[in-house]
Amino acid sequence: AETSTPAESPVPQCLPPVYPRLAPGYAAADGQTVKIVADHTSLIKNQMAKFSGDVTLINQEHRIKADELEVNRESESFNAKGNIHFQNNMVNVFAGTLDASDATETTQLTSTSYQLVNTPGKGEAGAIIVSKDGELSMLDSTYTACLGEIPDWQIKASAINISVEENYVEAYHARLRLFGVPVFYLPYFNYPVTSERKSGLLEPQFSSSGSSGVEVAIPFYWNIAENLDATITPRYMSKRGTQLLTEFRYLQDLQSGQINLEYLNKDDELNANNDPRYLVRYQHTGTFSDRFRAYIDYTTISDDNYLVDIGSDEYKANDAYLYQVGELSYFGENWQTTFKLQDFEVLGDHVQSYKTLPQIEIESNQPLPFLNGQFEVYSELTRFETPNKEQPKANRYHVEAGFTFPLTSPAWFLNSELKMLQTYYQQEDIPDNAVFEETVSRTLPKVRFHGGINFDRDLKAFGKGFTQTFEPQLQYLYIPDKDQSDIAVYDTARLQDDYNGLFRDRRYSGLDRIAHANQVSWGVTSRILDPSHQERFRASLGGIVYLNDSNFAADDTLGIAANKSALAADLFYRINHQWQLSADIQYNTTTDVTDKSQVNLDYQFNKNQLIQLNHRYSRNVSGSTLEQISLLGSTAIDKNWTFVGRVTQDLQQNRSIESYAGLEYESCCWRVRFVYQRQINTNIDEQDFINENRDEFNSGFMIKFQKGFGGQGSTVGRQDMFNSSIFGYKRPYFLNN
Amino acid sequence: AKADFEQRIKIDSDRQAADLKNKIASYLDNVKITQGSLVINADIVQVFGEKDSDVKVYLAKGNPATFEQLLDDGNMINLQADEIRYEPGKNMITISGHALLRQQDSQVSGSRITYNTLTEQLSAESDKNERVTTILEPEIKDKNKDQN
Amino acid sequence: CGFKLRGEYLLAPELKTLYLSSQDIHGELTRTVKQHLKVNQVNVLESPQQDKPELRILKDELNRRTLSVFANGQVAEYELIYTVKYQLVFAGQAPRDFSFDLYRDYQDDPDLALAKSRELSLMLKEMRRSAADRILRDMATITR
Repeated sequence: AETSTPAESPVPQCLPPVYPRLAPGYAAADGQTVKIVADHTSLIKNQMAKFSGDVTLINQEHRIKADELEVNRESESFNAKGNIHFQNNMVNVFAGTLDASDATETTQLTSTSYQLVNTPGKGEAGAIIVSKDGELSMLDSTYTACLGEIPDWQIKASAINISVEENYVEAYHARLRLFGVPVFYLPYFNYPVTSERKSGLLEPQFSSSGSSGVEVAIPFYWNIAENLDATITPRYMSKRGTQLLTEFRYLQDLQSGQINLEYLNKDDELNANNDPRYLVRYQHTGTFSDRFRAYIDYTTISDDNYLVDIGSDEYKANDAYLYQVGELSYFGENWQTTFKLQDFEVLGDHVQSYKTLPQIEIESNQPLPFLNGQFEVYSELTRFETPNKEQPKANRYHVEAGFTFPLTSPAWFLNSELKMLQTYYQQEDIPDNAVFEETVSRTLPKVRFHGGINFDRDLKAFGKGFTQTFEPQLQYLYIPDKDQSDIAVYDTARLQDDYNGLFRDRRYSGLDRIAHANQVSWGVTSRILDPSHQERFRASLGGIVYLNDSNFAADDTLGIAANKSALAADLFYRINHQWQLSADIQYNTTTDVTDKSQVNLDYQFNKNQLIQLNHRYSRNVSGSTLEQISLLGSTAIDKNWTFVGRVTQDLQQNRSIESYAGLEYESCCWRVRFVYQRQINTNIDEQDFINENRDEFNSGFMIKFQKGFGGQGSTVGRQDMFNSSIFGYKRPYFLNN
Repeated sequence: AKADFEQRIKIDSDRQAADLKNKIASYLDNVKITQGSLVINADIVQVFGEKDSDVKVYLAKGNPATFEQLLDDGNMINLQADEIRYEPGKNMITISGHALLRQQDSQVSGSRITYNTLTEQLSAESDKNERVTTILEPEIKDKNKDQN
Repeated sequence: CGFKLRGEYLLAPELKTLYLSSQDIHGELTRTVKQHLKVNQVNVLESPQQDKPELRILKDELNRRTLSVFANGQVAEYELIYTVKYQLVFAGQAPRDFSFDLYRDYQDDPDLALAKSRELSLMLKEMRRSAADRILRDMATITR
């Protein structure tokens, strides 16, 4: 189903006022020479000079404009009075008085207000000292990056030092004021002015949740070297204690990776045990020579409930298993090979998954001189291991070789495939009651013809020229029947029968079951394309007619039962810029029952106002029926405030799964988000759930500062709010090849 | 230097003219006035006498008219402008029109500059379209050190 | 009813020969696109040529979004979102950027973690084939 993500409005930038160059018509003299332009000048004995009337002093580093200026050449110092404007390439300062000495090359200004150049930072200060290398040190001063009379946030401090060259703002005895109200005190506070990587504190995050109480997290970014950095975040949780989150990243020409360690020494909330609770995740990606790729993603966790109780940025609270995979692949000209170690840490009382230690895949295809043909070989050697005593271990050698002839022309296509599949098993530790054999060899041919014809016609609608397409498809698949009950199931499960699955050459993932097939799949798709060839409507209907009765009507729990024939349909209709409907359904013709259905209705009032209604039903997802309805709404209240709400109701258990309300205030200088979220607590094992008195729901409130105090920041906004709910985007997969 | 002002004022020029009634003497073409180390060069100089005193006012015009003198500290001072008005009685020099005063490591330019040769004090004004520009070199400090 | 065989699906003449490039020349998507182009009679050059257009595969990314949860709160169904960004550069013109998402539903099952990860790689292969087809269909609509 096509779910449209609303376009992101551009992030408003705080544009600092630009002060034109003082005395533009006059160039600075070179070297230490000082040029002063005025209406009236007097000079006594070439020593004492007095200037008045729109006076501007110009030298290489700065320009000073004032009503009066006095220069004492003997002591090489000067002072200015009246409407003083000090300007250099970093800052514009307006001051009451100014005293400068060329000997020490410092300029001291009092009762000042300043505005940094090309970054929005500004404020007032009792006194400012501009030192030789352009560093500003300001006494009892304020700093903000916000515009407007009362800035959204402002730092008041007894001393603030700013060096744009070394890119830092440093504040002593800093009081953070939000909308003029003091909210936070920090004895010392150091912050990058520009977006360049710079060690320093990042924005603090305040939140509260049912499971952890009040939380305060203050991340510290440490820029160790230009290819090494670390973020260390002490996270205080009132109910659990203080956790230390560290993320260490490295980059070495084509190798890069990161290590995340989340460690809580003792969880005060648990009464049953007080061992440390941790999550460790190591990720590494690398290319060696041009043709090698490596990838590692290994996570381990102290206990199954870690994600539910404490939560982590690496995995969502409702994730069911953690990935533990290492892969090395080599890409030849028209062949490739992958060496893979894979395991999973399954959370909760589920069957422990098989590990592949290793799995070696080799794939090659040689073009043939006729009929666009290819000679393809796919082979795989896999060692299956499991800690579970009642399950066998096995070595599996598989080769699938044969010819494919993809023929395509605008009007039709015909892909034909003739393959031989040979698999050889060596199974060990077979439990006594099982019927599995120690060595099994399985040889099966596969014949597949998949063709389609494309028809078009012009369609006049709403006064515009549309094109409607009619694309029927047909596939015949033949794989002889073979009893495979002597083979255990290692990495095989039933595939879905959605429309895309109708034209597959297999009905199970993995290789341990190759279904007997003497079936015809048919499908019809019709699209309506608008004049600019955008798809405005698409409907597809298709099904499989089995000419044989399936040989795997057996064990449903293992999810390998094959039903007689499936009917699948999907629909997508973008009515206009506002309305969009998408739906799909899988209907089982033998049992006259809907296996799966989904309806999605989007209404977009305008760019940042939308409502999305979604209903899902799945009859059998590993044994249980799921039915859910969710409503998502987002509206921009005014140019600063955006509201995102999402409610999801489980119709089977008839209870709410998640209700989420996010209010985000964004101005040019910062973004803060107030989120209320109430979501179901993953109850991993019943017994543990009760005695740790975890309640069924976890609700929490969060304040998150999004944009840096330096005025720069990520352009995340509403899309991120969509993501942070249970149903948001969470984990990008690593695409190794 | 101060000693200059006891010296006699000598004027050379190609042509002379006099307006006895108003006691104005005019000197034309390549006029040069010298008084000790003080030298004024100009195209035209008019000398105005006061009725009952021997105080004279020298009005020099040139393109530009120039004035230079050696100061007590041994440095030269140069003035130039369209018009230089020298009143030795009041130790005052007033120059106007693209006036430029240069002395050791500093320079002032503007529409009108007055310079007191005794107190070595100058003051400069500008009219609307021309501003007083002063340039101060940093080296002045070292030179004084070597001298005293 | 007015339907006739699709005649001019063919690409604009200048797109009949092009150079295919990508940050990761061995990437699976790039290889699938190359094969798909060849099957559709497009002459894929081995090295860039001045006057010939260039198809640049910029990025392909797979994201997932939770769609539904089991009674105990664990994830039951995901939506896989496969995002592809590519560029078409005609000789002497500024590159034109294209991007699209493909969506598939995917049922997870904690008891069959390994089988489900095999299913995921199968679905990824299928999504890459439909992405290659989508790129070709988009290119067929581009006039110079």
